[in-house]
Amino acid sequence: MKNILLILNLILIFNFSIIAQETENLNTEETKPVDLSKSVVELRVTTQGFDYHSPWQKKSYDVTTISGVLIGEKLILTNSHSLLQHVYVEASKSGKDQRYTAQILIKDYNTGLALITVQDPDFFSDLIPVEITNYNFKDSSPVITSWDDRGIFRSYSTEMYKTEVLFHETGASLFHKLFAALDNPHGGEPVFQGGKLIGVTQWYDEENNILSAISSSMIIWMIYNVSDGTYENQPNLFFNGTYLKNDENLKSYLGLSSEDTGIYVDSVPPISSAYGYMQEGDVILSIDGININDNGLCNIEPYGPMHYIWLVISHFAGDEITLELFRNREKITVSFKLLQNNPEEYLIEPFYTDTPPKYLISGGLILQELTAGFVKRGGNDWRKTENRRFIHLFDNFEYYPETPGNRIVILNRIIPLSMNSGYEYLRNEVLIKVNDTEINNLLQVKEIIENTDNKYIVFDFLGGNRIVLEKDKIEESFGELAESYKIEEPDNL
Amino acid sequence: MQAFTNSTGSGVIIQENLILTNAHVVSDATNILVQKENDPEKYLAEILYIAHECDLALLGVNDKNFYKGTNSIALHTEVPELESTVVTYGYPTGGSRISITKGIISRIENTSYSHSGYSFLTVQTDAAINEGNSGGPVIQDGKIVGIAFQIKTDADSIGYMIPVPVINHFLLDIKDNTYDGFPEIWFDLAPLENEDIRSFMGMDSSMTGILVTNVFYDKENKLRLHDIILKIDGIEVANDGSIPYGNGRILVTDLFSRRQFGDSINFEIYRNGEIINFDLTLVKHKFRINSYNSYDTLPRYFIFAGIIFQPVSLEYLKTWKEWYYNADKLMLYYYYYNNRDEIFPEREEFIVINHVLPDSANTYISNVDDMIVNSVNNIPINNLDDLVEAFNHPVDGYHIIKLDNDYKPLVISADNIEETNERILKNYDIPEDRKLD
Repeated sequence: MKNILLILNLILIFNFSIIAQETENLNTEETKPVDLSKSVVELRVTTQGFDYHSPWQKKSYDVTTISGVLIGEKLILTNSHSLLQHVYVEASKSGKDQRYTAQILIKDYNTGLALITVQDPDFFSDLIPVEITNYNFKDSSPVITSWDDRGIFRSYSTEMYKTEVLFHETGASLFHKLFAALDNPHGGEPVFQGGKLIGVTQWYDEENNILSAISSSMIIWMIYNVSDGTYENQPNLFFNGTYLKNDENLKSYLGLSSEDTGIYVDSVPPISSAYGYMQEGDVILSIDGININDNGLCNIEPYGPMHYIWLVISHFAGDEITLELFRNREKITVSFKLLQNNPEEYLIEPFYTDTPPKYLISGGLILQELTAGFVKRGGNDWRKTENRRFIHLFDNFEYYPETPGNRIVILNRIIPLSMNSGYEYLRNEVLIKVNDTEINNLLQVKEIIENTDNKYIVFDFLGGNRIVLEKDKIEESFGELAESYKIEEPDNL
Repeated sequence: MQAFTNSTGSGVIIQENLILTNAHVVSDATNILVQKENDPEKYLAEILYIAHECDLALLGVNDKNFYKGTNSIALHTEVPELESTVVTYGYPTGGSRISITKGIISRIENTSYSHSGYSFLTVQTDAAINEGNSGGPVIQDGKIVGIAFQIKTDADSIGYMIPVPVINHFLLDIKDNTYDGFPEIWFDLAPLENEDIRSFMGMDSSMTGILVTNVFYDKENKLRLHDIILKIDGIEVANDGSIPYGNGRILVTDLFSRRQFGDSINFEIYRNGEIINFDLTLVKHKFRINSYNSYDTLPRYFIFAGIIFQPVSLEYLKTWKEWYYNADKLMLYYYYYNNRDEIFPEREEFIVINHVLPDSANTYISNVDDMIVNSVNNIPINNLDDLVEAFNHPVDGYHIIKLDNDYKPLVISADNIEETNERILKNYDIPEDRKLD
């Protein structure tokens, strides 16, 4: 639920020039002591993960305590990944145990940030919002703060290691990496410089003592995103490419001079903002006039060389972007509108979300959609143990549907019932047809079964396996499913 | 080449002064010595025929003195009955003299032969079989009923022998002085145990059979997807894919391995309401990715501009530790699904880049180990010979290699390429740039 009004209140306070990456040399002589304990809160989060292997139930719940920071009147900022599949969130302040029920306003998995509020106004009565600023390497060392488990407010000094864009399946974000010695941070711990917020903790590498904090630039991006009354996902510039890495032979073959640098485009999926404007064989030389080197980096003040994706994520969906490309031995320029990164349109949902997995149990067959959640059901070792065909499908970005909303329907496994005896050995199959109709999503399977007058339902799988069950027997099977296996909800569509 | 090791096993003299033993006892051997129980001499032996699929080998000893004072043992005509008694002879661990154990026949079934990965008829006994027994005879009524060859390590008293039908197939096969092997099925099968699928496909209640789910090679298109096999060579196939065998049942696929190449086999199938009958000749199919253990062969390869190209095979995958978990993901997908998902059906094999021997000519090509080749100089690559030929046709002064996964094209200048190739082979001490057969 997005309470836009609350956030719009906050925007009045902001100086948006920060987002244009101007380096403001903030007055470093002002060292007014700031009592950050009045701005940092604790959030007690109960999450209950979805069970992608048995999708009619959830896994056992987890409770963790993370941190948040007050950035505006009644607005608490924290890390979104710690809130994945949350059930209940409570806030507490000042090291005290009194708990207040909290509501989540926005969870943005692209940036890694989340905004929360508390209905009870008493919670905010003695809290002070912090100012947000960009990190300045000339200023004092950053400091990270949190409440420890005995109610004591702790401040840890850190040392900036590097700032970089990290690009992964949930999106991309600008991170500050800091050397810090901490006792097990759980996420959301705010990072300050000179008493002002420069980042929010995402994760901590205990072995090397390196903390990754989402930079304040992303916080500002998030707030600006909602300033027009709607919140869009990050813009996408999807393509598969290979860095040129000074490959003289390839450059010479393409007709590039050795001074030209950029990224070779291997393929552009239909869902990309660049589809129709950029194609296989192009070399991306610059984005918005900023040159890209042979390692995919561009020069951004004050950070230095950064992953080119920064030039994309500093935009918003709907903005126009300009690419200089090398194609057929000459330079050309293309401009197009950026589309948002919309996981609902993908053939395979690429990361965990708060939407429970869709499933359809028909005649004991557990049919689901192939998603990141499903492919990772085996835990951390999933790349070793998951079905090879599923991993292949998941890894291939060419698999974008012509019709958004199309999904890959799979057979997870079969719940043994009296009427499906003989099929129990089948599992991990891709469903391609039901009663000779090509299958594009799970709902379609339910509709075909319900609407057909045929006596039999024929399920055909990729690779030739086939299951046939009488429609009447499928209808009767729901009773046995409930009685023997206690599964009351045979589908979630 | 790996460092050499030594090991021991057992063997038995069968007719014509030949010694029968297991292939795994002598495979990759550089030196074989045989010794008899009552003779201190050791005699040099050589492999006459070796059959890795069924783990058998025939040895001969040139020095005829070896055979003085020996008798050959005949093969029994049949598989022994369950619960009947057998005696094993051999030289297992625990001593250096001949060792004799006794037991009964516990089970008769098709099992995997671990040396090759193929599955054939196996007879199980509880007579103690241990390391070193391999290749030794199992005797009943003074005749050989099997050759001891493997045990189940995570169980008690489960020892296996290669039974007479498999041994006889091997002996019959080599009568023409070449070992050809055992025919295998070239299609996937699924059971038809659920009555709904049988009714839907039109089978009446008296009919039983098994479903064809995938046909790999059938140029004549006689066998098709979703055919139901009712009988093979007149023998009825049950809904679980089994046929009668002795007192029990065995998978129908065993019928194929009993035949020799060149034999014909009869299918009675059910398709679209009709019963159709036809014969097919059993021929050796070359699988696109070899999925059985390989022995006595060096890998085929081609080296060009320092790039080492090889066909994908199980032996290649085995270079990863726990390859089924850790090997390159695209390669694993191809290995398991190349038939079912009809991956590049026009390809006879898949060519992979093993690694690149660094040289100025290929210095910009890196991180391409284990990637699979799609085309060279715009020519699609369907086998290793295609690859060799494609490098004779550079494009605009360059050799362009494209890969199956999303990656930039690999570009090598065609200028002075002969010199480049010679230089690389010399620098890395490689005598031959290719092995194509």
